[in-house]
Amino acid sequence: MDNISVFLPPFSPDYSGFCSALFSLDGILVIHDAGGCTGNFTAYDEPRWFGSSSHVYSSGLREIDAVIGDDQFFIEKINKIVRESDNRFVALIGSPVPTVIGTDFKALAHIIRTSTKVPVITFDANGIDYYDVGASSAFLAIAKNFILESGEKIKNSVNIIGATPLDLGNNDPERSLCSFINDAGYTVISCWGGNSKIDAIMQSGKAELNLVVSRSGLAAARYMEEKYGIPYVTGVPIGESAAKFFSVTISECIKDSKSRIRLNNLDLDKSKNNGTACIVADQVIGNSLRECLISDFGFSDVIVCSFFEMDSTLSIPGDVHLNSEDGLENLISSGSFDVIVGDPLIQPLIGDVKLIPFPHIAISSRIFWNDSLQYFGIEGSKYLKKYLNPYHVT
Amino acid sequence: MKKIAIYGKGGIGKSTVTSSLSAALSVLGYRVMQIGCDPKADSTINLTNGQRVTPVMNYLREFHSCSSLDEISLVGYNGIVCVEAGGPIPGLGCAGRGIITTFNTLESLQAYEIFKPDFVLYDVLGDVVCGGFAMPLREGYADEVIIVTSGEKMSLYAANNIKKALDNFENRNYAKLKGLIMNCRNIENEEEIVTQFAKEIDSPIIGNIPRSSSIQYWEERNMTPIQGDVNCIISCSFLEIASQIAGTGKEN
Repeated sequence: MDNISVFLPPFSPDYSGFCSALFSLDGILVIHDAGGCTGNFTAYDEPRWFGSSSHVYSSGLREIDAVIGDDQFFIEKINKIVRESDNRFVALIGSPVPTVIGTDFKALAHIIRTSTKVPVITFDANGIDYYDVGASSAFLAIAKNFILESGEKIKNSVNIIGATPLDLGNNDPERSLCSFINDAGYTVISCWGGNSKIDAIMQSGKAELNLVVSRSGLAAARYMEEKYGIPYVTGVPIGESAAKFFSVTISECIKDSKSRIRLNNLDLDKSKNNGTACIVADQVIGNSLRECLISDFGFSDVIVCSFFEMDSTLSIPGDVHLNSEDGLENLISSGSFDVIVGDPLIQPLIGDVKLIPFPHIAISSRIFWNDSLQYFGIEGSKYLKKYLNPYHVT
Repeated sequence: MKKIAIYGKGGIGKSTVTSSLSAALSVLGYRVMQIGCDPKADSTINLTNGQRVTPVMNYLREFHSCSSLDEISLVGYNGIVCVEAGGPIPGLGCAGRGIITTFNTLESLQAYEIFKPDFVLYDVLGDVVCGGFAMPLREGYADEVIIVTSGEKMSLYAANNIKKALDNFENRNYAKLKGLIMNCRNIENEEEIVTQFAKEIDSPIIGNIPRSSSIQYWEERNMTPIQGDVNCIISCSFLEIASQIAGTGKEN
């Protein structure tokens, strides 16, 4: 019974993460489902869907198709769409029913690729894993399939990896982030998960650095480090200190070609014992919020926890992966936290502890996605400061 | 690494043939892994001298996930790594899906990278009845398929169905038919019947296992003939087929 959620809604599933990562790339995205999964993505997980021209389709799988294993109709539908459009690739995405009947997406991709000559990528989504698994798989597929081989690097250039609205929100985070990066003296070649088109993504191998802004972008960044020698930094520039040190950290990383897991190079141990906090978020964003609370507000003890996958190299002792809302409730009740930072929907699970709302679309879907939260650079400190006691403010 | 799926009508002797080929390949000096893909989970029992490996589905039913290959594999005769998919609760669930889950589990535990077998033999239940039982044929799994058949009508019927399935999968980049192994039942004109069938489906016969009581004799002692008497006629037949599979013997 541990896994039953009483207060939290179902989180965004793997197929939504995969589609979100590919949303802007001029591809044909086909979820092999009866329609409900596609509707879930377009209506509840993808704020960019409304008014967009992106091609997201449901295969319209019916019971008899599943029972008799007829995937010819699926192949023919996709071939027709490809013939009638000028899209650059096809993505075949699973859902619970194909998982149960064992649809072989690799084989379907082979057939469609052979008949249409268009690149086809696949993802065996099962609808059980969460969005981050799908997004991570999509970013890795992009890295493996679409980057053009190029020995040239563009000086002071970066890619942003992992910027889907599911993690970064719906307040045009790409524009704010690019503006922040440009102000620091760097150009952005591509923004993966943001609004970059496939042509920009294909140039990603020319970047001198990858900025990984969510845990979902990590696998692709590691692949690109190995394949193209591009180092990466994980983090989102939240707060005053991050803004101050962003340029220095990026510059050092490019200079020595060594990846880093923090944007803020302050010594976090030199805190002012001003409080304890628990952050419930994507791991990379959570780490950046932690750095902000420690560096800008003197917090002494901040843990990051997440309902989504966590990478051990990004964790510090005390960080926790949460398997259920019970896990969060027990963590908060057994700890001693001054504040919690997380999606507003976790409020019933944290008792009387103060919550700093930090909406996460993967958790609360469209409920808060029109809230205009700005948190890059100094705006992040200003936002957190509104909720902190005066003694936290340094 | 070469991966081979063994198919054939239920009761035709697939597990006997597969285990004996595994044993024979190991005698020839190859590292072998055998994966039983039958809910009965008895494919490898002779290679382990009767010791039962925990089937993957049984393990997952109890523990929900598996983090170690040690929990779901046993090293049997001559270092052969033995795995059994197992199946759902009888009468419930989906056996085909169980095979998919087993393969996914082995892949996530990097079984092939860790054991580094020269040969992987999949012993698959009967016919290619659904997507799960076609899993061993998929790209990335078996490279080749061997069909075990006798000269009996129903056995040839099943073999023909399997061949049809392989033909249907031609555009999917699936495993290719390597040939037939004739497991004789001593019916009249058996060799001619199977030879004619092989000609009709355009397949070679890569081996002929004569009817012999020594197979039952050694199986009663939880062994394959190779383990019991490597020099007996049956063992020599399996060693000859194994040599062909390994590319060191003559085509029949």
